[in-house]
Amino acid sequence: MEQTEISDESLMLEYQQGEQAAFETLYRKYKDVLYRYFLKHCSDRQQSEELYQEVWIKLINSTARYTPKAKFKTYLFTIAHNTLVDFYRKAKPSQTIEFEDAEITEEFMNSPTPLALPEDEFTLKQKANLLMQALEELPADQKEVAILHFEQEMSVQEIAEITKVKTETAKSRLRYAKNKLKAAILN
Amino acid sequence: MTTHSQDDLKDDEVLAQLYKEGAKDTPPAKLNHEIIHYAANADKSSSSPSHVGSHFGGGWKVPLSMAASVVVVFALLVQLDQNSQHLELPPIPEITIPTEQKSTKSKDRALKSQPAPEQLYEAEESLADDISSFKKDANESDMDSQDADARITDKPVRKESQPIDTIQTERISNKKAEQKLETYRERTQTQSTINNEPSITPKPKSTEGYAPKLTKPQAAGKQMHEPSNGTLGSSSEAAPNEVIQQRSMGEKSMPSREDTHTSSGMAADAELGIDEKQNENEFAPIPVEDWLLMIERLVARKDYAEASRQLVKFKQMHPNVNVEDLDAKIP
Repeated sequence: MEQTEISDESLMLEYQQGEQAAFETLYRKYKDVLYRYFLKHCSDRQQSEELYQEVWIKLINSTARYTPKAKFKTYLFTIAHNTLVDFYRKAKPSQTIEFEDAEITEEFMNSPTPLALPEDEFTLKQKANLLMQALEELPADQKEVAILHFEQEMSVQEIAEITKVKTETAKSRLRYAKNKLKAAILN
Repeated sequence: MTTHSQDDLKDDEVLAQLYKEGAKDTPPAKLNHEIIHYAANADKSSSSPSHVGSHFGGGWKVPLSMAASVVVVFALLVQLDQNSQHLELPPIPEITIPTEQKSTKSKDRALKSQPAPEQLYEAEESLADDISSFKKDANESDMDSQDADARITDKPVRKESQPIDTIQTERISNKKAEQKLETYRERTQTQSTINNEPSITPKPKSTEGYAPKLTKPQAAGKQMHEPSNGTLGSSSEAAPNEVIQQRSMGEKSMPSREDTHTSSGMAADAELGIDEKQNENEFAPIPVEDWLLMIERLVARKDYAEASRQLVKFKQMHPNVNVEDLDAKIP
């Protein structure tokens, strides 16, 4: 895992030196994850594609300034987060974006029922759709944390770094997101 | 606590698997192609901060510098070519000079070769003296005075189109006048032998073209410088000028053509350019050759009496001159 992350930075440095194949490798690796990141945040597919393209353009244009201080994945999703925040600010300047912690019910927090994967594929797909619907209904901050966690299996520290919040904040957001998703699947 | 954490981990795994099952969306291929193409084009430009400017410069600076150098070289070549043409230009005007310019150039050259006004006046003076002396000779000689006048007036009169230097070259000296008389003598001899009659040419109107230019003292002064034959008296020195003066005043020093018709003797004398006064007083200063010429003409006209009389006088004046030929001709 660590070797792969180092590889990403190496690939980025190679692309910085003009190696086009390095960029294509990185693109193939992160294109779907990044695309779904925006697709889950925006109901409009076209808007998601524009944001997705904008992130890659920002990455390409900032390649010269790239230094491997952090993981490439963190670097890429930091750009994506900033792009998303800018999008929300432009789209809804009068409205405040709900990046505050949503209402946390003790019921969900202390839900003793464990989740189990359905045995048949039909039920699995039904549950997956329920999860996606629940994810879309999550507040933006919880949704983002949930996506980064489930999609990229990022740790709380990484999520905190990307979203520019404290680790505890990121941790609580993730917890709230999980409970809501769990509740949506169980119900 | 341990069971709770284990449950959480299990829930995370299930949620992650369900999320991956539900999230299978991928970006469109067109979008992937555009982004990769953009990355390929922007690859070199974003290689390093220090390379940003240099890469852009490398794209256009080299061709621009080459184009600029080509332009400069071309301009230099054109300028050098023009300079070389300028250097070769001077011979060209000589080739393409219009005829008018040439004529003006020749005129300039003629003006440059013209004598100074002092020289011109001197030439005119000498010419007037020559005319006067020639007229005097003609009057006293046996030749036709009218022809002589015609010759005199024709020759020295300066035409406007005639360059002044030609006048200068045609300066008549006594020697030249004598040569002309000789040629004229030969011609008149042949004419007289053919026609046996002297030709009467119309008398020229006047020599006013020259007479007004010369004041009397100047002409007289010039006459003093004339080479004399040693027999010229004071009265005869002014004779040529008097003749010119009289003619310029409209007086007739010689009988007119009408007179020649009324009196045959006077007409003959007039044709010969002789009148009584001249016969008595003015034969003495006649030059030797002119005098002999006159005697020859009298012989040719078979005026032997007059010819013998002139021959006697000539012998008295010039005893050293051999005139046996003339003696033989006169019966």
